Amino acid sequence: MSACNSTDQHPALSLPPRCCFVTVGATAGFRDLLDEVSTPGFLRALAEQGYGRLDVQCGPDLAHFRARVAALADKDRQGIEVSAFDLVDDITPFLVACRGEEGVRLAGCVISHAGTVLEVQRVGAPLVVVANPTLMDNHQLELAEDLARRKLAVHGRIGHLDEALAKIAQLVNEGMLDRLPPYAPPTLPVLPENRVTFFDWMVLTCYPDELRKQRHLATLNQAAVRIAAPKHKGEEEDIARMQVE
Amino acid sequence: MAAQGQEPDDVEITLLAVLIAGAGIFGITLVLLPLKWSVLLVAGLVAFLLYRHHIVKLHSPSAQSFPLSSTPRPTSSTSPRNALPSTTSLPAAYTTYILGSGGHTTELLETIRRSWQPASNTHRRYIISVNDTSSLTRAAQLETSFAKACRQLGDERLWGTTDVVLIPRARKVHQSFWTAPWSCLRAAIAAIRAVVVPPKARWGQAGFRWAHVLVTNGPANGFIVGAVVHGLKLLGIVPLDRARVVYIESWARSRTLSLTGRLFNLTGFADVFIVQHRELEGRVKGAVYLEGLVGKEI
Repeated sequence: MSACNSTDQHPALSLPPRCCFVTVGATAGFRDLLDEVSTPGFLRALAEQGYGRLDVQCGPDLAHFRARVAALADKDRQGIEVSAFDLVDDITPFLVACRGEEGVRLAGCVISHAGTVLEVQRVGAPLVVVANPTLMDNHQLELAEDLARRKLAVHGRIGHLDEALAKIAQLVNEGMLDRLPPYAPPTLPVLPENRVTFFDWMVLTCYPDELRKQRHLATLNQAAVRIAAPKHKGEEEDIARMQVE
Repeated sequence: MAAQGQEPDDVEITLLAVLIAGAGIFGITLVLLPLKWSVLLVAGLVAFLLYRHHIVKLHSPSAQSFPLSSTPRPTSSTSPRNALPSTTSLPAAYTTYILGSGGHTTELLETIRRSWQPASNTHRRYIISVNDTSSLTRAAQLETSFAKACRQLGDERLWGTTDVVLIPRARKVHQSFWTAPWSCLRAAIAAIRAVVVPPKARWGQAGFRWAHVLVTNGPANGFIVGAVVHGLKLLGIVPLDRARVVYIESWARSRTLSLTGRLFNLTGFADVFIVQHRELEGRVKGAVYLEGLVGKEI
C-alpha cells in the first residue's frame, strides 16, 4: 500500500508527515500494544505509509516503553520521531493532530484500546481499535469487530498492526480523510436539531396533560413535514393513522 | 455544589438501625406466632408487594407513549417553530444522574451535554461514588461549562441549580463475596437519602420534591439506586408519577448486556431500557434503540 503515500500526491503543499497516536488508557495498562509499536517492523510500516511522528500515552508502563525505544538502533527507527508520556488531562490535541485537514495536515491514525473510541470518533481521526486480550470481559473484542464491520474503525490485532496501517491508508483514500474541514470543538448548548430530547419526554411523563398536548403537537408537526415532502410509500397511511389517534 | 455522605452520619445510622430493628421484630414475630399465622403474614406481605409492583408497572410510561428522537429528527430547515418537546415552561425539571467510573462516566456526561439546554427550572443531581474523584472533577467541569455558556447568553439563572450526593461503593473491585451484602446495604441506605432528600437550593419550591427522571448507564451503584427507587414506590413513599428510571446500556456493549443491564432487565426496575446498538435491541426484550447519545454526531 505504499502507493497511498499522499506526500507524493500533494507535492506542492509539502505538508508535514502523518502522525500516529497510541493510547492505552489510564489504569489497566496494555503492555502488548506498547511492545508492538516499539518494534522495528512497526516503525518501518509507519515510515512506508508516510508517517513521521509517533506519540505514545503509556499509562503505568512509561519506563518500560522508554527503555525499549532507547534500545532501538538508529536505522530501526526509520526516521520516526517517537515521544512518550504517561498521562495527560486532555488528549484532544493529540487526536486533532491525527485528523486530516485540507491544506493543513494529512490524516494519521489513532491506535487505541476500546475505551477511547468515543473521544476519537468525536474528533474524526482514523482509528485502529485493539481489544485488550488480558481484560477478562471480551466485550471489547465484540465492539472492535462490530466497529470494523460498520467501517467506523479498523480492528487491529497484536502482531499484525502493519496490516491495520494499510487498511487505514485505504480508508483515508476512500473517505478523502486527508481533506476534511477544520476541527470544530463541540458547542454549548448543542444545536437544537442535534439535541437529545429523550429525557425531556421522560420529564413530561410526570406531567400527563402537558405530555398529551405536546405529543399531539409533535404528531401534527411531523405530519405537516411529511405532507410537504412525502418520501416513502406508506407514509400517507402513517399520517392517516396518526390523525385517527 | 454541596457534597454529603462521606462517612455514615446520624441519619444513615438511624435508618440502618430502623431497618435492622424492623427486620428483627418481623423475625421474632414470625417465630413467636403459631406457624399458621406466620405463613399467613408472609403470604400477605408477598401479596401486598406483588400487588404494588403491578400498580407501579401500570403507572410506568412506555417509550411508545411519546415520539422517540431516533425517528427522523427535525432538521434546521423544517423547525422554525418552537422545538418539541419543551420542558422550559414546566414548574420544574429535576434529573438525577448516577455516575459510575471511567468509561461509564465519560458516556453519561457526553449524553448530558447533548441533552442540556439552558433553562432556569432545571435541577441536576449527580450521585457519585465516594473516592471517585475523577467523576466528581469531570462532572464539575461539565457544570462549569454550562455556567459559562449561560453567562455568554447573558442570564446566569438559565443554569438552574445542581448538587452532588456521594454514596459508598456497592462493591469494590476484588471485594470479598462475604462483605458484599454489607457494603450493598450501606450503599442502599445512602441511596435512600440521595433519592428522598430534596435539593437544598430548591427547598420548598413546587415540583422539586422528587426527581422526575433518574438516569444511569451501568455502574453497580446505578442498580442500587434503581432498586431503592422501586422499593420506595412499592411502599408508596415515592409517588408513582415521579422518579422515572432510565437505564442506558453502555455504548461499548454491542452484543451482550452488562451485569447491571441484566439485573435491570430481569427485575424490571427501569421504566425505560435503552440500548445503543441495533443488534442488541433484537436480543433484549423490551429494549428501546436510541442513537446519538454518544459517539459520532449524526
